[in-house]
Amino acid sequence: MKSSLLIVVLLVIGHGAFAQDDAIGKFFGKYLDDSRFTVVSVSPKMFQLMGSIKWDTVSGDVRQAVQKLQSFRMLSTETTPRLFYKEFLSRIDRTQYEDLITVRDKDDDTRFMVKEDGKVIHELLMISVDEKGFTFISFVGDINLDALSRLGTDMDIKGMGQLKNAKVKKP
Amino acid sequence: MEDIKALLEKYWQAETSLEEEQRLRAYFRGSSVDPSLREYRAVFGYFGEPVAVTLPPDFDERMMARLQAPVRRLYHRGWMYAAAAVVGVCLVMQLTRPAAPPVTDTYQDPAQAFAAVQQALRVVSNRMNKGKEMTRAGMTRLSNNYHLAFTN
Repeated sequence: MKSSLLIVVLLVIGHGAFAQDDAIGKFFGKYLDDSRFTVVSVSPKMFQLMGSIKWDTVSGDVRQAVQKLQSFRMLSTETTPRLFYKEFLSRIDRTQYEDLITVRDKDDDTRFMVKEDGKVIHELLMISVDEKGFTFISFVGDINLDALSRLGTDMDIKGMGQLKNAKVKKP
Repeated sequence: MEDIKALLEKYWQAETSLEEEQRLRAYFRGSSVDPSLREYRAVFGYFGEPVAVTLPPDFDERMMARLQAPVRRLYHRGWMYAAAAVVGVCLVMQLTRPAAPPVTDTYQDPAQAFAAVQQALRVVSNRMNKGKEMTRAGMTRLSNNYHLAFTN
């Protein structure tokens, strides 16, 4: 009796020690075939194949950002977004991922997290939730945050103009 | 005194009889050893009367008690099996654990994949900038209020 209890305890410990794998990958795998989710993923192989794209029509910042990426995954759902947001946050390994930016607005929450090795960011996660949906994006590769933040300025997406106006608005 | 010296000579030559050796021992054990012969005392001092070594009366009992006491093993055999089983099961779990699925491809066309990535990069970038803008707006408000409060 006593020994069987000990075995159980050891198993739990042992399994915990082995289980330090990619929580993001697991989360992704769990909902990969779930019809509630929209899934987009691009493999490292595909990133290599992108060499054949006509790069001259693409802005320099985008090219730089994309060429250093290795993989991209995105999950999004419109079903119980807050619930999935919570699940995701509870699953993430805080010893590996650090909070980078948290943007909390009236009705949406966005978190950026990074996995760093020294000064180099290897993975960028964006988890975003609002009333309409939950989105999780992961970029793996060599990520340059400065270049990434510049991307938003050289394009025209709805809402972007308003932000620019907000910046120049003087009292 | 002189005969002791003579006996010593004989002793070194290994020609002394048992009785003579007995005499030498008795002499050196005694308290009146000539100073010039003191260094030899150690040679004969060792051959003192053997000390009577007697066993304590309960020796046999204690010895038997020790011999019959149960042997305390560091690990019981059962524990060894248990440990081996744990290691085995952990190994199996490690080997059969469903690995995180490799990144698959949604698009078969690099151009489409690129378009999706580009789109995602922009969304991420926007959200990031939104954070910055909010910070900036907040700081501007703060500094305006500061200005109003402290410069008039």
